[in-house]
Amino acid sequence: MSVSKAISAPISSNPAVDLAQRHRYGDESAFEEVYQRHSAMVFNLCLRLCGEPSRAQDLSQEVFLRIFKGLGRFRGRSALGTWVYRVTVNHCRSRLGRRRILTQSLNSGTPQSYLEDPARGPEDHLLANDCGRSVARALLELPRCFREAVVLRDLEGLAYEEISEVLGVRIGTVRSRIARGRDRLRVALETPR
Amino acid sequence: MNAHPATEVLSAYLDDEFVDHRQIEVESHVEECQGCQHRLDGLRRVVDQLQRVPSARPSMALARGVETHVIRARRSRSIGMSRPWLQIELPHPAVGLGFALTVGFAMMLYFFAQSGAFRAAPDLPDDRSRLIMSPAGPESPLPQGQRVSAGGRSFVLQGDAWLESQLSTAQLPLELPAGHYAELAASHSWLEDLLSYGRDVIFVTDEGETVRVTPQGVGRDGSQPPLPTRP
Repeated sequence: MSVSKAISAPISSNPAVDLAQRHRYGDESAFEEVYQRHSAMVFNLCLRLCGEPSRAQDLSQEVFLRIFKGLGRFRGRSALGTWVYRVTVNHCRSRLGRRRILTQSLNSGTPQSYLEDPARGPEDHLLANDCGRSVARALLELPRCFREAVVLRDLEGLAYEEISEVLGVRIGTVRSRIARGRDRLRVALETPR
Repeated sequence: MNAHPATEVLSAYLDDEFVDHRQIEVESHVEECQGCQHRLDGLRRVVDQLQRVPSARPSMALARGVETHVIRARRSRSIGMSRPWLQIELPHPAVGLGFALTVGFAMMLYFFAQSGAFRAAPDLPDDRSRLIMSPAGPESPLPQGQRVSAGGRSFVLQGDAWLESQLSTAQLPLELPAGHYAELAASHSWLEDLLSYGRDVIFVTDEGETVRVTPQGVGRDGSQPPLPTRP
């Protein structure tokens, strides 16, 4: 009688580390779980940082490929979500570089599917679409460092400490970037076009 | 708080980022200051508008694209996935750097030790250079027949001893009375120099006697060790 012993990943007390270990040991469902949890967040962040839905889709694909390759090395020093945010921001930085972001893409012809939020009602939706476009446009005109901080705080709802981890800067810098970003947005939104 | 808070402070206040007393300070100032209230309202409107921006829903095309990428990546690392024990866990770069520095330092020490840089200089009497004319140090190998001058005498290396030039090996061995030897060692410090080469010294005393001196026989404390004789 032969007994075949399956190789199983060691179990960790941290669920995120456990997920990473499962991925390292070849469990395909581990990466799927990460994708299900974070796909919307990654896509939205890419969209807010680059401003183009099709470009955001390409960036998201590349981000998930990076996550797939790096998930096995995740050691749980930060939360998994924070790590995913960091990978996304870093990837967008490296791919977008200093290239000028196209602000027209959100102004005209944004596919409806990208801006749909099933949690909102129809009236809310109309208002949000109208208001959202002008804010999103103003957001894209911000310098990159302010935009990252404001998006992570006001659109993604991260705490200052988490933003500090994602961006790799001190909390004082995060506070300053958020304030300056918001102030510039206020000026931009109050100025009639 | 009398001074108007900076935008940074108002923005952080809006996010409840301060500890209690600071939050209360800003709050009490804003209640009394119309200008700051106006600024705070402006920031609040921006935050409100940002929070109303609808979140986008990723399309199925994204899921398909990711799947394609992942399948390709899985194929390329299929060996590693099926044999996880083959995967090498690389240490943190700092650990590697530390290890490399340690190895490098150890190798440097080894080569220095080999080259003799750390070897202590022999403790020789001040007048050694005058006594011994050998070009090499005491540690270096000496060829048979090497000649040196010490204490006004001439010696030649033969076998395991320095022989006074005029002495033939046929005249050996000889034992010297203890009292005689102590006097000899005290008055002729150059004997120590010769012995530092790891060889005995055989010479003729002023009284015409042939004497063999070994390292045990030349004590700085003036002791009188027995002189060995050649078998």
